[in-house]
This record gives sequence, C-alpha cells and structure tokens, in this order.
Amino acid sequence: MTLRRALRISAPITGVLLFANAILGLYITPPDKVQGNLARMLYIHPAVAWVAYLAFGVTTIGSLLYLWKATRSLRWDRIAFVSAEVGVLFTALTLITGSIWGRPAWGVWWTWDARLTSTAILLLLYLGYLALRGLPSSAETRAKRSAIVGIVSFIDVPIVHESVIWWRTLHQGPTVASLGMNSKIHGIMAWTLLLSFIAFTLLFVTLFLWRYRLALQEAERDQILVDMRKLDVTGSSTRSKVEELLSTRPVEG
Amino acid sequence: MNGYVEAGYSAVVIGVGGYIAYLTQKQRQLKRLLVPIRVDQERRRPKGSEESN
Repeated sequence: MTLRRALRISAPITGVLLFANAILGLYITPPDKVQGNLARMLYIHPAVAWVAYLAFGVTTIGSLLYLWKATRSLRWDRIAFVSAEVGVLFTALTLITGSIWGRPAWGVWWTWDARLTSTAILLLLYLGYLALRGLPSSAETRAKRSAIVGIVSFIDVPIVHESVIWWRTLHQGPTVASLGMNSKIHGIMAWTLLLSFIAFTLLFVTLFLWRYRLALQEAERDQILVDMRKLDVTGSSTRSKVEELLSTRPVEG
Repeated sequence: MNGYVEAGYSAVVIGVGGYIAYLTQKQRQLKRLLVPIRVDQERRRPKGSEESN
C-alpha cells in the first residue's frame, strides 16, 4: 500500500472518530459526580498524553534501528524525526490541556509538580532534538547525533509516567489502567475514554504518514539539488534533466 | 458548560489545525518547487556555449 492510499483511508476515519469523540465527550456523557462538566477534559487530555508517549516511543525505536549497523538506513532516521515532530505537538497539547484542567481543579494554571515539571522537561528535550537536526551537517552525522539524543531523551518518558507514584503530586494517580486493570471508570464514560484513545492514536498515524511523505519528498528534492550541482545543469534547460533524475531514482513508500 | 472545557477542546483543535496548516503549506511548496520553464523564458546563453540537451 502506498503512503498516499494509506492516508486516504486513515484521514476520513480519523475525522469521523474525532468528531464522534467530541460529540460523546461534550454532549452525551454525563457530568462527573465530583468534577461536574470539568471531567469532560478526560476525553482529550489522557489520550493526547498517550500519543506523546507513543510518538517518542517510535522515535526511540527508529533511532535504535538507525544506530544498529544491521538495519542502518536513513529511513529509520526519517521515521524517528517525523515521530518526534508529531510528539512535540502532542506534548505541548498535553501541557496546555492539563493547565486548562488544573486551573479550576487545583486553583493554579501551573505548579512545579513532579508530573508537570517532568512533562515540561520532556517537551524541552525533544525541542532540543528538533533543534539539533537543524544544525548544518551531513545526513549521516545528523542521523547519528539525533539518534543518540532521541534515545537519551526517552528516559524521561517512564519518569513522567511514574512521577505520580514516585513523588507526592497534585496530579492524580493512575485511574484508568492501574496495575490489575481495576479501572475506576464505568459505562459510557469508559467507552468514550476508550474511543478517545483510538481516535487520537489514529490521528497520530495520519499525521505521521502525511509528514513522512513530505519528509521523503524533501529528501528527494535535496538529492536532486545535489545531483544538479554535480551535473552542472543549473541555468540550462533544467526541466528535462530533473525529470530524468526523478524517473531514475525510486521513491520510498 | 464552564468555559474551561470549551477552552481545552479548542486548544486541541487549534493545535492540530495549526499543524495541518503547516503541513499543507509545506506540501504546496514542494509541489511548486519544480515549475516547468518555457523555452522562450530561458536565460540567453553566452555565445559559443553548446546546448547540453
């Protein structure tokens, strides 16, 4: 299956599921006994945070596969980069939605709580990862440096997840999937929560596929520019040369 | 509701929407990169240079 076809399938399904999640979360599910309508944040905030973990997990796997000589390929580096970019977006959204939830629940927009602080550090680490990729260097050097930073940064993910257990925090402990799976949520609220996880995971898949496709095209463009310099075709009738180059090089995906 | 819930959902819509807009813009730029150049719009070549095509 090509990336384009995969995108054409995943994008509408994602749209429908996110819309259903919003309708269920905002209008169908009942308000919570303690938090009232504020509990509706439950249908976005945990799912967004889960996608951030997932994205950085993919970045780590891509980085490890790049560093391992048997599987070394710029394809893994590209996968790691694309996933990190989407992960940064979702980490920022986790902090924003958490802050909006925290203001009425705790009385503050922000506090230097273990969960919040470790999540903010996670965002900074992966922003650093993206900044590092912007430094001028060869593709191989950049991939190797980024892979190391990507793997080291992932150490913060289990710290974020376990922070509510390891330290006394304002943030509530694990509710949905505590060990033993004794979930404290029931009925339509639990199903909507499950839907939110599915919908946001699919959103990650869609954004990842789209960004990966663009990253492939960018790599193709860069290679064409290098080839053009080698052939010294700049300034002459470039079009046919470029088309020739495009037709001879297979495009991934 | 209470304003905070709407703000939370809006933040997600704005964040994801912004990223989609960024990707759309990037896609357009990549598409526009290889623009066909008409032969009569080509730069005049110096005398004595040969057509490489």
